[in-house]
Amino acid sequence: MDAMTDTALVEARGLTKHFQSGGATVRAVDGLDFRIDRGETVGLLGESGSGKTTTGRLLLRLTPPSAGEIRFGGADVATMSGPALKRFRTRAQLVFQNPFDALNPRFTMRQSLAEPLINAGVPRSERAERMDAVLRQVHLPDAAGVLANYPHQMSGGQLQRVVLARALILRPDFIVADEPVSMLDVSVRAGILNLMRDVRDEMGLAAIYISHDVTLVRYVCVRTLVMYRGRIVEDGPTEDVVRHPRHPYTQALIAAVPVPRVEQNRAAIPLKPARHGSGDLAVGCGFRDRCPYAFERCFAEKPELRPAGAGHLAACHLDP
Amino acid sequence: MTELVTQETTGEASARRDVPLLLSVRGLRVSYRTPRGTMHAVDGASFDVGQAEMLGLVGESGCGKTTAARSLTGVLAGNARVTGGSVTFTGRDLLALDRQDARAIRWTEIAFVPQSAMNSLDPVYRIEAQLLEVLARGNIRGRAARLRARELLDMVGLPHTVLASFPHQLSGGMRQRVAIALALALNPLLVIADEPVTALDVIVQREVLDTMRDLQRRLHVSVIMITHDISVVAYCCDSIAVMYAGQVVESGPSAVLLGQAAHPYTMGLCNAFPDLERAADLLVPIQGSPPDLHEPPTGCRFAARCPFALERCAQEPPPLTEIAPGHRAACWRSGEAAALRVRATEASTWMP
Repeated sequence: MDAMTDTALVEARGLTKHFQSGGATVRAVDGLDFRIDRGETVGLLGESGSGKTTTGRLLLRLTPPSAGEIRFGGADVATMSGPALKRFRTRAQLVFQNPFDALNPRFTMRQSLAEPLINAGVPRSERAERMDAVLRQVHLPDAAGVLANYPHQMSGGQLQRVVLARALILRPDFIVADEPVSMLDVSVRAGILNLMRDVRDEMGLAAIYISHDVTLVRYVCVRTLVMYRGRIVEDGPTEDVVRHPRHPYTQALIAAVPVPRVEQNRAAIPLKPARHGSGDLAVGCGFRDRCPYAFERCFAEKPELRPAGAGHLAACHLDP
Repeated sequence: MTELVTQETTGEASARRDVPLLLSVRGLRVSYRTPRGTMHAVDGASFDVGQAEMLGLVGESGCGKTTAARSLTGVLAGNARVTGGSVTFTGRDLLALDRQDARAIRWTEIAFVPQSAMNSLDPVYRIEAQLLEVLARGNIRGRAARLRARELLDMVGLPHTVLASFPHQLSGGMRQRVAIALALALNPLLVIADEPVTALDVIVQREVLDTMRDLQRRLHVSVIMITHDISVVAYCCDSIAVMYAGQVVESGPSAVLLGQAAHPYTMGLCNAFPDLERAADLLVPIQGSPPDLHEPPTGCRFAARCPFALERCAQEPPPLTEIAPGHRAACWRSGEAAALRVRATEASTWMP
């Protein structure tokens, strides 16, 4: 890419977001440490309420952190202003979840794609070429036909391609995609997932895919972070995380995913029922109440991420 | 053309399986009045549900699976109308019932579990009150009803403390369990569950599916599970009916359907679905999109997207025909299914 010796594009250090709700503190994001290298595709896997969407918003500076910092290309995102902030807004892009909501229904595709170009000050003379190029990238070759359309004239799969094109048109270094295919049908979803693989391979873009879907993350992401109750409990090469999950939560999650075949003998890992608002999460492991292996230390001491294999970290007091 | 489908399938219904039939749907047609005219959401759909059988009604959004299932209990939207076909349930034609009789069957014989229990539970009543209300419809009241309410919570694995809770105080998984308890309250013969676990997290999804399957086997109740998720169906359903563009294009035992699919749409769906236990190979999408059901095509509705389509396919609609015991497919080339299945596994087959 360039002459930088450090390969990290995005770095989160102690990233924290707490909300106040009815006098109680909700630890939505509770001290995350991770890095995303240039060109690296990372999955952020977690259930609803795990803090994964808030993490995505923090990374794009759409919401301010309560503590901790994010560095983008070495610079502190929180203190950016003026031209530096504008440049950040160009280089880091969000891909919206629901293609049916993401585009203005009164805008043609041309208008929707022109908007970011205008905002970024791309000269009018370059715009048509940029639109054609990005539509080819998302495999919508009939640019003239597509650009004249309004959202209601397009299928869900086509719309999701335009939504992705809109995020890519400013040639960002980093995209955050929050549940990018959850609204699409199976037969269409496969095409979008393939497109995401192509984007990964062709553009050298760093990306974080936020999802509850293990199969999606596995298909597109080289590395996977697993979040549970505001913390990263596992971080490793995706195939290793899927085949040899180290954290008991990840183990239960992987075991619970059904496969599309009848002869499946995937024994579930029985978890204790989740209890609402049990205990103070400032102390101990967030998974202790449901974990089949929890012991005293899990209630007394917060497990830190530690090595659990090659390039693989897990936050668990059990021996890896 | 739909008459053809109906005729082909009615005669042989009884010979097909050893499980006695509870429900038999033949040539069902339901249409919606829309600003653009008449939309034929369900257009000649046929399928069976055996006694104590769990059937997965599978298809993508807009294929008519929810409309088909809802028409069984007569709870269709105001602009919808059943325009043809028959629904035989324990010897009666459900489509011929008047409003009062249809209402009498709901909960007592056919119960419904919705996608999001938040929509079926009343937010201002405690769970016990809602259970008692359903039980009262079956004339179970007083002490007997209170005992039954507790028994139902035991069945779905919820603590009795839930009785005093309001819906918003429960998690999504707990609410879905309450919805299952409500559905089972009056010992129905058939439970229709519409995407019952889609809104739940993976681990909770598995727990709720296990509960549903265990109860279904223990109580010998029949279930129609409506879902877009082949994995969910593979996990818990005995048989599958695949819908496409308002029609059932293939049906049969789960293992047969997923292992030896005979309709190209089913083959394509299987290709497009990721499998966590196998290598993360290329997923192959099905090109194009389903037809507009305001003006459905004349021939096979999948022909425009089908890599194996012949000239005939675009002209004549293939009838749903039995190709092996209990296995039916609506495809002119189902005789060549084994060869087509091999070609269907190759990604190049599906490329434009």
